[in-house]
Amino acid sequence: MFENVIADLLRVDGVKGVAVVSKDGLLIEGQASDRTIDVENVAAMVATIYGTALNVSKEVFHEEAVDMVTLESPKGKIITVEAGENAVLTVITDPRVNLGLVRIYLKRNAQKVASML
Amino acid sequence: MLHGRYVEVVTSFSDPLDLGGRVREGYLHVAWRDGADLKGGYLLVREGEIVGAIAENILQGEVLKGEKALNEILTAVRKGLIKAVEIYEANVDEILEEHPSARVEVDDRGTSGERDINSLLLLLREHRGNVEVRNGPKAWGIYVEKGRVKAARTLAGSGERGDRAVKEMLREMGKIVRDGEYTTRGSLEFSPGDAVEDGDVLLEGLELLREKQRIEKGF
Amino acid sequence: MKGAKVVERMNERSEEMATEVTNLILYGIYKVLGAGARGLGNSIGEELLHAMMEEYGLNFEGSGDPQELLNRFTDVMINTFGFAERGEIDVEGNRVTLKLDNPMDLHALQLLEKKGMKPVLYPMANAIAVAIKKFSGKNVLIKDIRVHDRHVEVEMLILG
Repeated sequence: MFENVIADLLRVDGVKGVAVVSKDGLLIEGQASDRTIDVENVAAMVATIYGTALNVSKEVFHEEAVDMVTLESPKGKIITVEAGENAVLTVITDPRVNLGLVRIYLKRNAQKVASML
Repeated sequence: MLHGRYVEVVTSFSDPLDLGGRVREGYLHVAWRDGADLKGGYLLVREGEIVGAIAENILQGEVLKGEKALNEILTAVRKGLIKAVEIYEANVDEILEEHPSARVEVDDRGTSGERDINSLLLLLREHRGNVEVRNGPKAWGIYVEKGRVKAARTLAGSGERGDRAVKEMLREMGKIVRDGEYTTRGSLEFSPGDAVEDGDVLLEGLELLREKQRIEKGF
Repeated sequence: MKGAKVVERMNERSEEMATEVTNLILYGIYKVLGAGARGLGNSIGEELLHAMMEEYGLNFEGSGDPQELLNRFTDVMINTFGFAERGEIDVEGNRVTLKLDNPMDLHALQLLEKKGMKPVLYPMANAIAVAIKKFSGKNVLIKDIRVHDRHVEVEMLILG
């Protein structure tokens, strides 16, 4: 169902994996171009990281709202955005990816996912 | 990635190719899984007609353009692998300038032998109206609507009508594809006796013929 | 200082205390993770389904229809495990509402709500979601968990 979204994001240079994940941690659909990445295993963690970020925002800013969660490691980045009420969209990238471009594509595709759920 | 203005994503459709008419000019973006592969494609459309196609294997990075791409996408459509279609408004001429080999021809005239079976399949799928098919001394007239033959009769030769005329044409299809001609020009009139009940058989027969050709070519 | 002391149980194990400890663990998880606790749902559901199938020999094989899976699961949940007094499944299109009367975890959920924490995961519903995904290939989203005085309602969405 979300092959279009996954294909669109995997075409961006430096994007190695894409996952549409329910906020319950269920992998709705995902694909990695790098065989060492198991998107199924990452799904629950990504949902938890995003949800916990919401809780931090609530605690600190008194508002349970997060635009984007970015995890940066020397080996790469994991960027997650909300995709409607019940899901998140996440990408796993190389460390030197064009972040601006990834963000634009993430936002655009998150809207598509939200409209399809 | 092609440039364009995103219009909508559609997940409920009977035939994804029908969605081409939702934009005056632009493209349909589709993607599907083929075994372990993830494939994607763009169908360039203008006034509801497909004028170009690009297909790619996302994970392998291989790109096909033109008739081969169209064939790849149509096969995915036929297998029901496409679950969502994104519609974009775009300047098709600009895209075709960037990707000239993406162009596909859907002429209203031509010799089948000069192109391949895909062109005839595409014409029958997309066209709504009369098609005149000639092969040497034999000729048939058919009325099609999105791949279904509604009426048929021979214009020269045996004098068969309706389903029998379609079957006769099917028997000759190998020769028609190789040496025949077809056109959507000219005027044809049909009478109730020309009505066809088994309207899918022509397209199915052509698809089988294409599969046979592929197998003979070793894919 | 170095020493050792061994204490042996003299009385019966207190089930009430065990439940209280479990509730406090749940409370701790909710307190720190908040909405993040929801992300644990699928993993908990996987483990629960695994336990139901492997340890209790429950078999959902051969039923690929989400509605049938839901019915069978609810039947097992009520009649085999006695998880709740009564279960009711309401289906409207792809939206499913599971209503459980007096379920085992009602008290824990009410405790959370009393402390201002809206429940975001429901292991039984998560296990149903995993079962439906595993046997029918359809994804299930848990949209809402509503806690009432005597029952819990879980609203789910089955994706095409």
